[in-house]
Amino acid sequence: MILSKECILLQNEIRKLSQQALLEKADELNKAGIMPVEGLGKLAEMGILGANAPEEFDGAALDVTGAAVAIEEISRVCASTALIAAVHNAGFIRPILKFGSGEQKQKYLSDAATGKIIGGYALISANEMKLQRTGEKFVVNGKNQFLLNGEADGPFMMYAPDRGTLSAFVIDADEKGVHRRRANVMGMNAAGIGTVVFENCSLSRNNIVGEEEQGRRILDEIDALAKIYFAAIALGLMQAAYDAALKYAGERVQFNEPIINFGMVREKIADIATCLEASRNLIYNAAQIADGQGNYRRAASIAKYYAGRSAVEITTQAIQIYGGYGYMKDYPVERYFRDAQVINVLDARPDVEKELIVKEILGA
Amino acid sequence: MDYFLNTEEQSLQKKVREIAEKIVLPARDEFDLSSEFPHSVISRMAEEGLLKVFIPAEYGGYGGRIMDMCIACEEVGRICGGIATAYAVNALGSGPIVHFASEDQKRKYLPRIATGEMQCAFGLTEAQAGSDAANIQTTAHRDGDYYVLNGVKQFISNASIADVYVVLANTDRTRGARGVSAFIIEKGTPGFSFGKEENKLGIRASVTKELVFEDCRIPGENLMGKEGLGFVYTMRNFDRARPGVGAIGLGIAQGAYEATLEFAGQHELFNNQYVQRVIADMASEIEASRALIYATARLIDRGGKGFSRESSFAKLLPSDLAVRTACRAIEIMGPYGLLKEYRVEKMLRDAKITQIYEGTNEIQRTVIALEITKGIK
Repeated sequence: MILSKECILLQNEIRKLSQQALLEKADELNKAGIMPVEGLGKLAEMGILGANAPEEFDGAALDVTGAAVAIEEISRVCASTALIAAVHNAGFIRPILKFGSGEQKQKYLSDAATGKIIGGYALISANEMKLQRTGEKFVVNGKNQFLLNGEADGPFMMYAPDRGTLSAFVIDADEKGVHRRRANVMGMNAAGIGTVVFENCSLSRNNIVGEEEQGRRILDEIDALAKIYFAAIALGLMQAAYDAALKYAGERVQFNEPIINFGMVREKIADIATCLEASRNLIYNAAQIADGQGNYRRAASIAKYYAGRSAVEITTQAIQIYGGYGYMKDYPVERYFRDAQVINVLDARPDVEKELIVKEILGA
Repeated sequence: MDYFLNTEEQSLQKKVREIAEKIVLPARDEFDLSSEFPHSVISRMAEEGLLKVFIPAEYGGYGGRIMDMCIACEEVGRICGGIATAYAVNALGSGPIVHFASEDQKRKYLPRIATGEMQCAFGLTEAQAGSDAANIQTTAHRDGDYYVLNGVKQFISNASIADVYVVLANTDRTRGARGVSAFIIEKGTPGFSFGKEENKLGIRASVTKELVFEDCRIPGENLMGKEGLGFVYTMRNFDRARPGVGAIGLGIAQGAYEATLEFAGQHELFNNQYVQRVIADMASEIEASRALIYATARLIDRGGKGFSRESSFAKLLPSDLAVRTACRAIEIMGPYGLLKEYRVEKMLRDAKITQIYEGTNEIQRTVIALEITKGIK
């Protein structure tokens, strides 16, 4: 797949930025479970936090391919940081940009695009909340165990069950009756994934994004984009695991030879390279359909399903190439392995993704 | 599935399951998080007689049958792969003493290992001797009636916890693998200390450290068996121990399968055909691995030699199964599977080591294939 000149320039810049602004602290922040505040500041300066937002809201107005390439490069160094950027762009900015009221756009978009706030998204598949309508109010109780970007303490998007369907809400950082805490997740530990508990949280029409009961439509619209970005995170992880495993295999000597000389290691490298290239092509293909204004849902689901599964498989094999060292936190591959598990089930599990693919195929 | 376990095997299985659920289950999260050695759990297991499983009857054990080891390792692994490892290391460490040590050495150590008074560990791996296990750099120089050891052993499970160590060192570097000898060394011996502690992806209840030997003088009587046969003992010990690793993997897979069933039931997923497919695959593969482990264990317990290939089968398949099953469990549970509270993420982290320790699965495949093809022209 050939990227445009602009895209390659962007790729080089983000690669440089990631090396300079994220690499040094990535390991430490992931181990400590702290969001990369400084790194996000640098990404904001580059426009990555408003990647798809138009210039009128201080966004970088990148196309989908450009943003996917940027996310991939960030993920190579720190998948958590890439996840923050992807959720912020696709899960928060996008629905408000496409469906929000004029007031909501004014209130959130410029601040989000410049990184003053980091927007979140309460993952629909972890919804355990109830919504009651009382007069003009919507009262929410219950919880969502997967508030992406939750620890950034910014506003977030939430899709609550309403009259048998979904209504989309934007919840302010200081909304009453909203309690956040840290979620204990196996990976993406610097991504600030939280749990949110709603206790008689009273919302008004001003919180609704789009129309009432339009949540499903909004999700359909943002989902495909999120899938491309999540797939790009998986791709960055795969690239990182591949780079690390290939280097290690060339350096590690056993039986008086670098282990890259052994057939079973060579086979793994070939398998990893194949999954990596196939994923990259699927992702860029979906992104380019999106940029050409085509229906990219099927392509996005296929890319996400394949890249997520591949990331799990590749990082498992990367640890295996490292042997015992791969199991130790002194080396990077065990983090890639844990992060890959997370991205594989976000934002939808592989079986749900497969069902979406079939629905698109059957046109139902 | 009925595997026709005899009465003793059935009662052992029942007993270990009860202990695992009563003692290991409430403690597993704490030790996974703190990464400390589960002293309290292991001593309760010892009080209940579970360390006797690895030791022959004449030295105060239950008989030291591989079948019993596999039954016990599976049941503990079902609850916690980390504590199962801390427990099973005693089989790996006592195995060479049971089979290759002198009568005096056996009488000195085995009864105390059986009661849990002493724990044991096995020191083979070094920084440059991983898959190439014979490439041992640690040396043991003969000095009159003594040996003097120098070198560092790496990634040693239960290092600093165990009281007695079987350690492999070179007594004659000109002879390669045939220059390797095995020694029994007690904790507290001058010149023997513990180095770097590893921070691991999983089995965090099991402590992994270096064994450091700096001019460590030990009496000649600490030599185990004959000089130059250490590597042979090691390989034969692994042949007997590998099904135990498989059994830990099997236990982890069983645990992940049960967690999947529980989740799918709670979330009304039993009618989802994708979930049905995964449950059916998990259940079938688990039974296949269990059958393989039991068949291998019975083959080994029947006596005789030449079960190296079968023993590798019994490690390779169940350890791959453990990783696959835990991955599938996470997929079915979706984001919940990633949360520590649901435990399948721990099962996956624990499972991953079973593909690596006691010979990576690539080494197992190599050994199996060479064994199969060596007679074919």
